Amino acid sequence: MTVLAQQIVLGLLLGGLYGLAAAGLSLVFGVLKVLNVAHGELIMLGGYGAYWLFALLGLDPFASLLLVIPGSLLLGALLFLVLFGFVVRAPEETRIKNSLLVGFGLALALHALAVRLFTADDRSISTGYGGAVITVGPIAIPVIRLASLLVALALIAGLHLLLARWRWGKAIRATAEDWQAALLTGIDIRRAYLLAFALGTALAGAAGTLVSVGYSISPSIGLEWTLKALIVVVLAGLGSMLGTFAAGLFVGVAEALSAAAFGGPYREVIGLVIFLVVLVLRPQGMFGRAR
Amino acid sequence: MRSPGGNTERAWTLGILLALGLLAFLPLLAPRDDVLNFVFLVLLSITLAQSWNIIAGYAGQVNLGHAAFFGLGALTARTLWIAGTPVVVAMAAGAAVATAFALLIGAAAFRLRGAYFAIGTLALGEILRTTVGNALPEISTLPAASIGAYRLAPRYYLALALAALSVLAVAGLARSRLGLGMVRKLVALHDGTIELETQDGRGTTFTVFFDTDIEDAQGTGRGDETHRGETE
Repeated sequence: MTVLAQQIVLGLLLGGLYGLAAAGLSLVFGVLKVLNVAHGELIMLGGYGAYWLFALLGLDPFASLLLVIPGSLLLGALLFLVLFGFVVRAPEETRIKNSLLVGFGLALALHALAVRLFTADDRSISTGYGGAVITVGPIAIPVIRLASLLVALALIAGLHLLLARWRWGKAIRATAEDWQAALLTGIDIRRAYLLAFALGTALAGAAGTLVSVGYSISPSIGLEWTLKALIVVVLAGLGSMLGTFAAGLFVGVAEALSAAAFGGPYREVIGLVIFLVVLVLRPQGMFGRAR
Repeated sequence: MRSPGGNTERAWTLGILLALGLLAFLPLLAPRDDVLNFVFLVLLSITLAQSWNIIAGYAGQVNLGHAAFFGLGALTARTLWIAGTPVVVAMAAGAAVATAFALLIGAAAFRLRGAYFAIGTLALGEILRTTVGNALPEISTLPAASIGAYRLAPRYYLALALAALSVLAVAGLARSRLGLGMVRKLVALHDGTIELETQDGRGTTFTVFFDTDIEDAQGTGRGDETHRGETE
């Protein structure tokens, strides 16, 4: 019983990161109508950014968020200007298909680049306080993972506020809802796209940082995290950042329970099966706009 | 989707088959394993691309889980071949298993469109990879005896034949009445209608109508699309 409760707690902590990873993808998909299947690779790059800042400069990973997030913002802006900016010129249906192929290619390229530059070894950031644990009764809560959950929640809440209060946040939401109406009201939708994509990448970078300190990274984690983010996005539906976070927690717990029931290696499979079932039966997700 | 139709496609098909025919002489001219291996991979890519072309090019759905069918075929063929079945029979069985699997998931899969179909198939490929990889970890190995008796040239010709077959199959599919039948079924899948106008000597114009629901993120279709077909 205690083991199960412990697994659930760990699942919740991981779920927070799933939610953060999904938030970036959801933002990009909702606004640009572009499915960036290279999102996981952007998480991977963020993780490596934090890792190298730690390994070379000794910078604490939570502090390095202050560098990784702006860095990822710039990377996102660059990727949009150089790559996805051309994809969004097509009408919506072509756009989605092109974005899938472009994203797939980008994912392969980034993966190969990472293997080339960083080798395929697993890396993890081990800080001095790495082993610290908060004990609540029989349950042990790793401090780093708890802090990561709180950071993830803060970032998502921050994004939610940004989209609600900031002038360009509202412009982004308007573009997501109806780009033609947004265009007619004078919003520069291309800039809205750029900002949304940059923000999405920034969230991915932050998620990567938290993954590298709480878990481990290697060039191959990209696809795994893309799928996790996709599962959460589909479960949550588009349009609610907080809903996406909640869905992330749900997936984390579901995985923990299925790992307890079916064994470790099949943990991912259950998540994917749930994903397919939801996709077929309720594609708008738990919190998405009803059809 | 535009198909140049008629003579252009026929010319391309013949040209490609001619090139493949010339490649049949390669093992005689350059009997080096590294050259044959390289061209073998090219031929394999041709077959894979043509197979993906059917669903993505002609039916317009991006299938990111295509590797699942490749894997199932490989799994079946390997299991049978190691047990002693002739390789061509094993390959045919592999194709049959992949087809059966596609038919099995087809009903559910094609409730999804566009981006959702793509990520659904991506997830499917991942599910298969994880499940098979965990259940049969030794699957990518071959017994030493098989490797010792392996000769590249016969396999090269197999790949060449398969590549030629795939080119013919796709060319035939696009031009056949089966193709038109598929179009009708696909349009029905999208709740659309087809109208056609035919003029002797000039050709037939097919107009396909879909209902557009702008709010529907699944993307059931655009306003309307005009295809130029050939006279039958």
